[in-house]
Amino acid sequence: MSNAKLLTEVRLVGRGGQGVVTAGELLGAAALAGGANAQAIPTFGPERRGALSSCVVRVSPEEILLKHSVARPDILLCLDPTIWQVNDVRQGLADDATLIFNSNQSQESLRSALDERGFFASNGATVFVLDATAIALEQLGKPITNTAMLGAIAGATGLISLDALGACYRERFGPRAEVNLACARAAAERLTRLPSAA
Amino acid sequence: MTRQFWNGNMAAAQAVRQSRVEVIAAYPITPQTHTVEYLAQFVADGELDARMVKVESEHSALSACCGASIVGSRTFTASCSQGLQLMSEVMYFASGMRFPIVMAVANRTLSVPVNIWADHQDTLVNRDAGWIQIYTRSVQEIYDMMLVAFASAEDPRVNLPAIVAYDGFILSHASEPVTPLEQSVVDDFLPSPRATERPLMDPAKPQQFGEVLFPEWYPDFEYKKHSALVGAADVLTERFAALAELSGRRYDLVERDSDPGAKTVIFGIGSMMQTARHTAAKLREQGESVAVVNLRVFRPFPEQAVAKALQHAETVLVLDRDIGYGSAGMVYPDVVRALYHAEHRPTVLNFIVGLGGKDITEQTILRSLELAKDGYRGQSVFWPDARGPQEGIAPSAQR
Repeated sequence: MSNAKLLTEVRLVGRGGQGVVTAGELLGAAALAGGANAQAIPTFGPERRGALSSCVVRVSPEEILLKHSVARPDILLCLDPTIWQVNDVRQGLADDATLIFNSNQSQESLRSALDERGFFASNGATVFVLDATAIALEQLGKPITNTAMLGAIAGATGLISLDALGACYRERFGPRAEVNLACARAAAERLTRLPSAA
Repeated sequence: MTRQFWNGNMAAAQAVRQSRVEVIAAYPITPQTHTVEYLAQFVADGELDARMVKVESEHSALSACCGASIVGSRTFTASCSQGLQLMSEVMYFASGMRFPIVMAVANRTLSVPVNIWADHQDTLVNRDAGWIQIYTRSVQEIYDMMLVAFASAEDPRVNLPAIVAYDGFILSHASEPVTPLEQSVVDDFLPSPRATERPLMDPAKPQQFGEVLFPEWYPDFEYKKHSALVGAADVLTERFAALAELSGRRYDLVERDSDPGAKTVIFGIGSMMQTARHTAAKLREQGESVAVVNLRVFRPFPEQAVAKALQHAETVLVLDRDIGYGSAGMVYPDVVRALYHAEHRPTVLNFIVGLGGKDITEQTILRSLELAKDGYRGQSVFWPDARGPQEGIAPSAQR
């Protein structure tokens, strides 16, 4: 992301039932809590548990006038370990995008899988990876990765802070906020950057 | 109050809660459903003292609102698409009976083909039902317009029902920052529905309502109803001014973006006008003379304000997110009417965009501007989204 660009667009993808839409709302709310303007637009179709679910979040210091869902994402957040292997989630992706994947694969096998699907076609992309499913299972006892993956955005990009995220979790989840915040903190800590050159 | 991050349906529901609505009757339909679910939760949690009336159809929903309104209750309903069409018959009844019911519509197209996404077909085909129709471009505007709708509909000079329309999904399900008003401020803005007098059903004072009216007097009745709706423009303007005092947010019947001397003006309703503003601002930076004029209130149609806002334009692009089959978009004819008597009559062209939720992007706006460059060519209606032998140029009225 260049500093000159005011608008940041984030695409969140996962599967129906994984809390993608909630993640988009929380990301926007956290950006708002940090003093920015934000907009979260879920993509809705005939909704099915397990099928592709996505959401676009725009963050800007200025008023956001754009009212369409097609975006040129600066950040791609994949909540589900395999959704990017069965659906093309790259549409419009900026050349210098930051990509964050939830995966338990070794770096080598993940990189070759990403290469196969063109995610490294541009050398400008920055790729982060973490095993958010493991974090969610540890903390929540179920494989719902949305609150962990938002911690990964905070850790990888600084678009939102963990403090702002914490405030939003407390408002949204009440007594379940702390355990979800623990997911976010663990995600921010365990995030690793995948080297792009083979 | 602090900024909230609400979706459009929540903004509508919160404004209805703060309006202290007394009776709510609605039937679920995507993408409106959340509005009424949120309200049901407010009632269940004791945050709103209202009666939720369960009904078996939209026809019954609006009928129940009519029953509540005739005894003086502040009433609310919400619908869209096929549901709104099922209400249509009762909509004429509600306006004829002069019931100030307020309805939120999360605009959705009409089937078939089956489609749950946004366009303005559902509200625009009901343009002649005698209701005020207010359109919105953002989630904040939904909140603000709900308050304006109650205050204007219940004004004794109006006593007519009102629709606040917002694009399904694009606004109903999108979350954006909203700064709500304090409850005490809303209470001042919107006095009790019983603060003003209108004829109400009262067992202690028997009267008849909804009588047969013979031809001798029928035109007089219709003239009064029409005049009340035309006059609602002044009341809406007053309420916009009052809201600006309280919130700092300024609205008008017709809103000009910038550059009153711009040669090319993009005109229309709904959320697409924000994308148009974004695009026009970029074009102005490149030295082009483009402005955007937003129509906030479609009914009553503010003929003179529209003519004034467009008086310096050479070309006006009317974007319609709807189609009046066999004619043109449904906003377009009124704009042409407003400009027919203008001193300098611009070229006015119609662009059918965004039907059934087709994304309206900067490219849609740029493509429309490109098509407009050749002006009128025996053809005034263009389809920039449609695929055809001549892209964007529909079979013209060649006869």
